[in-house]
Amino acid sequence: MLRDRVTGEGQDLGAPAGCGLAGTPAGRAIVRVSAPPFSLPAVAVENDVVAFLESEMDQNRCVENNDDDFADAILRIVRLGGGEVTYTGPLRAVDAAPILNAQPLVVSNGRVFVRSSEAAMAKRLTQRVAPGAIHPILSVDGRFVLYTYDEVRLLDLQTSTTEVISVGLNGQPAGGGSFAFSMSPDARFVAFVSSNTNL
Amino acid sequence: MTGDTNGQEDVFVRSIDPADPLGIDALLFPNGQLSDTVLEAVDATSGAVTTLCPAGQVSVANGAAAFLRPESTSGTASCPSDSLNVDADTTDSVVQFWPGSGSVQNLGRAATAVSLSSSHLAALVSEAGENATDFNNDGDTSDTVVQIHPAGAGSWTNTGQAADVVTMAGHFAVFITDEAAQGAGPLNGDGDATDRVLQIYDASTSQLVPCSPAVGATCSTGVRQAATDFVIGEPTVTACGPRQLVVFRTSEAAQGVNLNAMATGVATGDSDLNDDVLQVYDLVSGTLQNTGEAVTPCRIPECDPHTPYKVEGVRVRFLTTAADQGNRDLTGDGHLGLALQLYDFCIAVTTTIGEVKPDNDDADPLATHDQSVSYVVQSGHCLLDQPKPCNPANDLCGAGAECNADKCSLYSCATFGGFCITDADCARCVVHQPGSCTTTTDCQER
Repeated sequence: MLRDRVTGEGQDLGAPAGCGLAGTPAGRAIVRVSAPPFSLPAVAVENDVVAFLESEMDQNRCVENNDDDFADAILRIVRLGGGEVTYTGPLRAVDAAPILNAQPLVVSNGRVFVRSSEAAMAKRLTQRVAPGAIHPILSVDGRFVLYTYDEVRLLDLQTSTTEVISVGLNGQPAGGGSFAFSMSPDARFVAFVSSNTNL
Repeated sequence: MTGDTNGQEDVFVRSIDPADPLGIDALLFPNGQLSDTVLEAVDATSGAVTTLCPAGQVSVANGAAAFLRPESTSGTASCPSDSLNVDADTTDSVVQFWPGSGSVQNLGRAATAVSLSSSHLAALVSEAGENATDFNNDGDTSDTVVQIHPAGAGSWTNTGQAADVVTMAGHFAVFITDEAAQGAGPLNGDGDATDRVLQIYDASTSQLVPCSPAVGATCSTGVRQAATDFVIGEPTVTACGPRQLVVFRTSEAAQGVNLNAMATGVATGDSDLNDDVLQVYDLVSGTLQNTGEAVTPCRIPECDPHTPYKVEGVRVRFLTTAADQGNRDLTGDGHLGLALQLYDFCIAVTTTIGEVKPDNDDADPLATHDQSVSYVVQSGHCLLDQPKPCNPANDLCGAGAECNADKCSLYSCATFGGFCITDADCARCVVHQPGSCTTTTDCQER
C-alpha cells in the first residue's frame, strides 16, 4: 500500500489478476538483496513515486516478461493517484546488484534509474546440443558444455564450435573410453578420465 | 523431451536464445551479444525510457547520473567502442556522465568508483588504467587517486590524494586515504603510516578543508583523523545555523588516542584504546566535534549496510556497546548491552534513547520517522524524547517533535507524571509516532 500521510490518499500496489493468483492480491512479492548479514528490499521512493523490483519467482513463478523463465527481477513503478506507470517497451528485467547509490535502483527528480540486463530479458531456448551424448557439465559462466560422446568434447555455446578434449600431450586422439569429469569456471582447464593406453 | 525420437540419451541445454526473438540486443545495446547490463532512466510521469550505455557502478543525483562504463571492442554511435581514455587498451572502466538529457558524455578517466553530487563528481582514478600515471607523486602507479570534475562542462582536478572510497557532497569530496598508498608518512599525526585517514577536499577552493577542533577533538587541515567509515548528512538550516555533517568512526588504536574518556563533559571511566569513537565534522563551519561516545556499527539484518549510523540534520543516531563506553549502564535499566543514542551537534550532547536487542529486534533502530527519535522496543511502546517542558501555544520543540498538553491532577501530571501545580507545568515535548501507527493503541506512550 502506498499512502500519503499528509493527505491520507492511499493506493493499492497489488498485482493484477493472473499467473495463477486468486483474485487481485493486495501486495506484490519484492526482490530482497542479500548482503550478509543484511537483507534489503529492492524499493526506492521519491515523493509520490515508488519503484521496486518484483520477484517473478516469488510472484507464483510468474513469467512476466515473456522470456520463458521466472527468475527475473521486474521493474515496477507506481505513482500515487496515477496507478502503475506503463513504461515504453518491454518490461525491464533488472540486475539487482546494489551499485546505484549502493542500491538496486534509484528514483531521482522523477526518474527511475536501473541497470537493465540483456541476459535476463532475452528469450530462453532449450536446445539439443549433443545427440547421443552423456555426462554433461556446464561451466559456471554458462558458456561451455563439457560432455562425453565416445570422446570428451567441449561445446562453446556462444560460438557454436566444438573442440575434442580427450587428446594426449602430443595431440593424439584418445578415442573411446574417455569421460568428461570436471572443468574450471571459465572452461580453460578441463579434467577427464580415460582408460586408453595411448595417451 | 517433446520431439526427441532418436531413442538415445542426448545433452540438452536451456540458455539464451541466440536468435533473440524479443529483440533485446537491439533494444539495449546492439552489439550482437546478449551479455550487457545497460543503464536506463525511466520518466515516472510519461513512462518514457532513456537507454544510456552499459554500466557498472552508478551514482545518481538531481536526475543526472555518473557511471563507469566498461570499455568494449563493440559499440554504437552513442556508446562508442574501443578505448575511452588516454590509453589504447579496452580493459578499463571509464567515467561517463549523463546530465539528465541529451547524450552521454565520456569524461575519459579510468576509475574504480564514481560519486555524483548536484554540482560535481568525484572519481577514484586508476593510475594503472590511466597509462601508468603517478597521480599522487608517490613513485608508484598502483593507486586510485581522487579527481573531481564539474557536473557539466569543465575539466578534471587532481587532488593528488589516494583513496579507496569517496563520496561527493556538493562541492566537497569526502574520502578515506590509506597512508601506505599515499606514501607521505603519517597523515593523522600518530607517527605511523599504517592507517586509513579521513580527508575532505573542497572543489570550490581546490584545497583540503580547514578544521577547527572543539574541546576534546584534534584535527588538521583536511580533518585527517583515522576513520573506518563515514556518513554524510544533507545540508540543513538548524537552530544553530546552516550545517552539513560528516560523521565518521575513528579507531582509537589507529589514532593512538583514547577518544572516549569524556562524553558530554562527564568522565566515562574508559581508559583503553580499543574502541571506535564517533566524531562529527561540519562542512559549513569547519568544526570537528568528538562525541566521546563509542560507536558500534548496526549489524541487524534490517539495517542499511551503507549507513552504520544515521545523520539527520544536526542529529546523529548510533549504537553504543556499554562495554566500549567504560562499562556504563547507558540505558539505566541495569543492562550493559547495546544502546541507541542520539547526538545533537548544535548542543554537543548525547541522549540515550533505549536498549537495542540485536538478536530479537526485527526493525532498523536507526531508521528515521519524520526526524523523530522514536524507536519501537520489544514492549511495543514508543519512547518519548527527553522530558522537556514546553508551551503548546508556542511550540518550540523542534523538528520531529511537538508540544503535548497534559492535565495536572492532585499535584501530579496525569500522563507524563511529575510534580505540578497547574496544567501548564505538565506540557512536554513528545516525538512524533512512527508512520506505522494508525491508532493510539498502536503506540502507547510510556
